[in-house]
Amino acid sequence: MAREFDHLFKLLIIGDSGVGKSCLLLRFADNTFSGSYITTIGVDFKIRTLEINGERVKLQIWDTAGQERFRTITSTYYRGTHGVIVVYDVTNGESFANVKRWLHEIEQNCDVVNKVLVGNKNDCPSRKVVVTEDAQRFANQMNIPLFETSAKENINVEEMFLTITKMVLRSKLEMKERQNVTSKDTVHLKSNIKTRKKCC
Amino acid sequence: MGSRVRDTVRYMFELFCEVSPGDHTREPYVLKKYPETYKNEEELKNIPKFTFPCQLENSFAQHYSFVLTSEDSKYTFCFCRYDPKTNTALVLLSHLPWHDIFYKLLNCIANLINSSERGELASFLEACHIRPPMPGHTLRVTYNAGHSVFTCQCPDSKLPSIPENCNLTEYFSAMDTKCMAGLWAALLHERRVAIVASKPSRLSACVQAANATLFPMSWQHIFIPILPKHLVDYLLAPMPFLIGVPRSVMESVRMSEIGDVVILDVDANELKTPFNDLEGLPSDLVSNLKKALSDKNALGDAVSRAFLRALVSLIGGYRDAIKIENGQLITFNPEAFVRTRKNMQPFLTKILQSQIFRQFIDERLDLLNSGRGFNDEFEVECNHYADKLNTGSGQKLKQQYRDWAKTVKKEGGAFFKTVKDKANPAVQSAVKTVRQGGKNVKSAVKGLKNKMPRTGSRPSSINTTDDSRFSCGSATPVSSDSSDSSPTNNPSTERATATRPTPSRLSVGRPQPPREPPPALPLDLLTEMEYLFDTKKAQRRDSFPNSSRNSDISLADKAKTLSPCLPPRLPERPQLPVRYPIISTKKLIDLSDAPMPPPRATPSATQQNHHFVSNITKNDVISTSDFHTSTIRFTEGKDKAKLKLTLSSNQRKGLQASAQSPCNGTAPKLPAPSVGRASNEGARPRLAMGQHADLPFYKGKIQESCGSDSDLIKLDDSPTNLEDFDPLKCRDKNQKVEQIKSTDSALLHEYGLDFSQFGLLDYSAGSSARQDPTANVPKGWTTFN
Repeated sequence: MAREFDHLFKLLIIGDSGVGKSCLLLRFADNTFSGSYITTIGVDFKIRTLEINGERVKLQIWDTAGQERFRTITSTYYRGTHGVIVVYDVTNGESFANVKRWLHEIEQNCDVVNKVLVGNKNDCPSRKVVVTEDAQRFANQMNIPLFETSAKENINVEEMFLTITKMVLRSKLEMKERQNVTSKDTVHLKSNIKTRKKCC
Repeated sequence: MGSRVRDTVRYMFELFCEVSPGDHTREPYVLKKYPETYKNEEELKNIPKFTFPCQLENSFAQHYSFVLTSEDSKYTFCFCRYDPKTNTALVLLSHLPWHDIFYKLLNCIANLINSSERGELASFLEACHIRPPMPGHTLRVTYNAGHSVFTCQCPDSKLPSIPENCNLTEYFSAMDTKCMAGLWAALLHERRVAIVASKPSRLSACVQAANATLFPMSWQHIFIPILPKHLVDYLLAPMPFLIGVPRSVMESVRMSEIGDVVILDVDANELKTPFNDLEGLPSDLVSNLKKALSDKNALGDAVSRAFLRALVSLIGGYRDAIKIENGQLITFNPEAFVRTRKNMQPFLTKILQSQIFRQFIDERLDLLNSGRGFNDEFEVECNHYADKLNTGSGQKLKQQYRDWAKTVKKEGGAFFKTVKDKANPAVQSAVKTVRQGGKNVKSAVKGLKNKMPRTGSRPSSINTTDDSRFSCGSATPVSSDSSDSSPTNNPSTERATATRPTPSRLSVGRPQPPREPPPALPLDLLTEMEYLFDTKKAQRRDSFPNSSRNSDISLADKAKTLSPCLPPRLPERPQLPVRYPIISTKKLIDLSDAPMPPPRATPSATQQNHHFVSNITKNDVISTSDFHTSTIRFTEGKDKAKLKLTLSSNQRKGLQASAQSPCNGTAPKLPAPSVGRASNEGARPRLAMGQHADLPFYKGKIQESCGSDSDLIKLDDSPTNLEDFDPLKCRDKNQKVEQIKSTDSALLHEYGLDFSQFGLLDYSAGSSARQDPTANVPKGWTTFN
């Protein structure tokens, strides 16, 4: 069956409420008229299709309500996802603290490899409390890219989404190759692998 | 934190509306709504589509419910009644998960709509649009020119039982053992779970019931009991979810994109799962669970308890992993937890990585660190289990906690205070969830009765070793200060004295009148702990209800002797309803902030022309005398619809009438301490609640005989009075005197949880009446005979 995309990736966006997750999503989404349901059913997602290196990638980015009530976000939450966008508010130190805790937790317990760290609301230097150096040091330590963005001014948003998408795509292709190698060794697994690839 | 039901519930329901399904040219839309001023546009926009999520079978009236989740992840419950005759659905929005009650209320509303008197509906809705009843209280609204009565009682803290709980009953009758156990295992693993059924009624019931099998944990992820067609793409969500999908909606799902989902087909009684969740659990546990579920004639809480016991054998060992060190925050040791159950370590490792378990632990820790402690059915079963294994873990932990609390005490409670400050938001929500303690309630009430001094004696010291304290151990003060004002208004001095001590007892850490030195928080901790790990004792009481009952008199005597040493505010916890604790907490919090306690419906109506109905129908003379209700009856001139709003304390069955006891309502004096005994175990907790409920309303008239009146006895209500009543007073007082102080209100917030336990809700209503029973009836409450 012909598909309008080659890959479907499901990403999560996490961070305290108020850090601008939904604004980032709006900036990113193809169609902003689909309505938001975060205040109705506590979950929302936006879709966008990109083309990277000739491959059509359909991105779904999912957001859920009230994450700040979790001291830790456990691995079950990330189980079905290909990548995580972790957002804090550069004008809010607490949101950064939460993010650090969550990222440590992901590091320890989750298999999710693709993460980006995003400091949003980076449009008013006078109110900035999370300095870039601190955030960068932490990002380096966790070995993840850092982006300071402003959804309001549309600064760095596109780059950020593009980067995470490329990361996810690359790791998928790498995994594919690895699977191909193993499937050559064990021939009969092939069909299995193919069917699974379909969905992502 | 744990629970996602709101802490603060201001009204019984938020919104009523009638929704038309629309037709080919038009989407579903709202025909009418009450209150007209309801402004939540987002909800109003979505309600019609959720109300008609798919094509409804239009042959019979059906009840179903859906849930909206707000941005802070809290639930709003929407109860629907679809009537094929009118081809519309009546919808009630509420923050309370009281399915059975709201379905009943919807039936009343449907009756009113079908009746000829159009004006009466508005009056009826207005009368019902008040604060929900507190635990042990009953809301009574008469309608249909007094010919019909709507009554509802705040659900108690027991486990859901069959057939009372319609959701569980439906679920249990629809599913076989294998499906129920399999779904439960999938939920424990936080899978993406879709429940499919053709009928919305069955669908929503099964989703709600399945969720309830997780108690004491609660689902933390996406929760949509009925998924409307236009949201079908949300089944593609990569994170865990529990979604009820109407069959017609399921057919439009692109299964190729949905990934690994556990699907329970209710109509076909079939569970499809790509995982081996159930097989991953210890086989003896699974076989025990299945065995317990296999009795298709199971009644009562057998089914709920089967799931609860299975959870106890899985995660009940968490108590052995709680690390208590003097002078430090109490923490949880995951490694120790995994070691608590030898044969299921892989599963315990896994569940450590689930959100539901983490939230559960975090909430328990917050309760401990804030000195509140906890107790519920789960802890009771844990004790049973520990007893069986003879590990003695409960005792050890208790001792540790006691030492810890003592240390904290030495430090003057500063530590405690900081902890509380930090933990506050989490704790608040946590308390909600925790309050479920069916059995404990009973014992607690009993303990309270015994303990509470009926006269003005105030506890100068807290006796931590006292067994009789079974309260869940809330350490937080219930009331800020002892209220002088309310007692003075009271007609009977006896009452005033009796009630007065309570506030002091309850209040801790809040500013108090000089005469009562504020007890230090640490003391509370001790009591808490006592409670927490005293379940054995509590159980003992439960298991020998008769003996305890018979010893009422001696207990009463005991109470007198003990009274000076009464632990502060122990009594409160027991009253809390297990399942729907929220209300109580909420209200307390609400009251502290909210200037206005008075029930909404009453004032306007009463002011115009109100006759208070003083008619007391006595079925049984003695029994009726004990029964107190405050009744408001008002007529609206235009519509000529008559409404009577009655707040009544309900003593349900099981009370024996004692001739000596004066009617509480009429005679404000406290009944003799010795009297109250419940005829049956189950009724006992209620009795106590009912009693205090009465007290606040004592000026209210004794109006109608409850069905159970004949059984009513006067209880020894002193304890109950104290608990319920005083908080009110304090409340009132606080509001008047201290309300303005920001610090006080902050304190209230901090301790708001505790307040809720006391069931302030009704108090607000009652308080106005209470103040001056005889002379003026403030805010339209009934006068006292």
